[in-house]
Amino acid sequence: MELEDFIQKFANQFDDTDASEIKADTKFHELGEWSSMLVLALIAMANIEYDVTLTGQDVKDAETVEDLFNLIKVKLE
Amino acid sequence: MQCILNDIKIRGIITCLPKDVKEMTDYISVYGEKEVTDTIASSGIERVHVAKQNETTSDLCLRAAEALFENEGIDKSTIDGIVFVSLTPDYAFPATSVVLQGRLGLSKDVVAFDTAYGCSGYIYGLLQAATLIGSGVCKNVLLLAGDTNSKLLDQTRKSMAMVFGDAASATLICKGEGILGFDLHTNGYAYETVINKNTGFRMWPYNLDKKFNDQEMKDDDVFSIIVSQGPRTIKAVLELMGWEKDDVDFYGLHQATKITIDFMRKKLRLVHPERAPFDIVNYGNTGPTTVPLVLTDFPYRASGIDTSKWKKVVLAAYGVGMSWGSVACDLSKTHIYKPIN
Repeated sequence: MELEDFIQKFANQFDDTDASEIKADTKFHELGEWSSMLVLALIAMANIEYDVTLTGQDVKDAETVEDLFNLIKVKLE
Repeated sequence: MQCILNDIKIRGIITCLPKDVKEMTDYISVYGEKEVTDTIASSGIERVHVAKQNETTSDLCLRAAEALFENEGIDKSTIDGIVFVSLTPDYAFPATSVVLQGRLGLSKDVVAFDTAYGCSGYIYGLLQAATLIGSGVCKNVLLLAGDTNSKLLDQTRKSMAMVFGDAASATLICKGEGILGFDLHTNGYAYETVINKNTGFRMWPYNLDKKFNDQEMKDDDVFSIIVSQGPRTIKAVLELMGWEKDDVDFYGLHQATKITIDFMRKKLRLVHPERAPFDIVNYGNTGPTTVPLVLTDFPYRASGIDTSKWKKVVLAAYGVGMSWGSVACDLSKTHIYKPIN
């Protein structure tokens, strides 16, 4: 599981946000497009791509994209 | 729990929608245009049917059952069991299934049960009906599953008003040629994920002045359970039956929102994703009715659907409890009727 690959998959969940805006240290809750539906989209993505089940709280607790990446990595171990 | 029950057939299915329709765009004045447009885009739900003030789930079930009896030419005296699945019964007691036995003019030899499940309810109702027949208790069981969510859920909350709709169904399950495979699960450790504390007695008397439609729903956790358990129960029932996922002719999946169906199609890596349709643009999440509604609505809405080819069908649903499960069945000889009002 590579961070760059994860960032791309993360960015794919957004419709109106340019992928270049999303980096490892992006505080994704502050993005203009952020919504409760994106929480569900990220839970779905993590399950399909990594077979990891995130909770809504996991997504809320993660501050940056890399935080979420690290959490999935821990769950994979 | 897994089991295969033999010599049981699903003879006929029909659904009933209340006449009144609420357009989601009507909420623009409440939530603003962007919020409403975004919600419709992600949920896939454009409108829902809403029961009148004096119209209950049992009224919709009654209409569905009467239409099914008429279409099937059923002698009412042959019905010997009723299972009513709903979170919106007529009364705390007596059981609504009992009330319906009388209103439908059925025999006093009928056994009648209420089952308090929501979105997963059709699967649970099918199991209950099938076991009544499989055990020899009954020969012809009427499964009535429905909800009037507009009364149950707080309509001032966007996540409920813009997702849930009202509908009901009637399914006739009989002794006959057919096999039903079941895979069902319960997680009472997470019972507070979706809960209404105001209609029961655990919180009494502190809930006496509370609104009965003020329930708690942890949307994200519900979705996490769907994501983790939905594909698993489908795979389990396929394995039980010895079926391959892409040999299934139709997947009647619980229709919560578009994202749920999209997820299932991707996760199961379906070669024919069109066999697992999203079909609630006009209905919303109708609780235990979404599965029979997609079975009855989709063949009449989409072109080229021949239900006499539905030899391998998988139904799956997940919801309050938490509870989830799936059924494998042959619906190729089942009479599937267009939804009525």
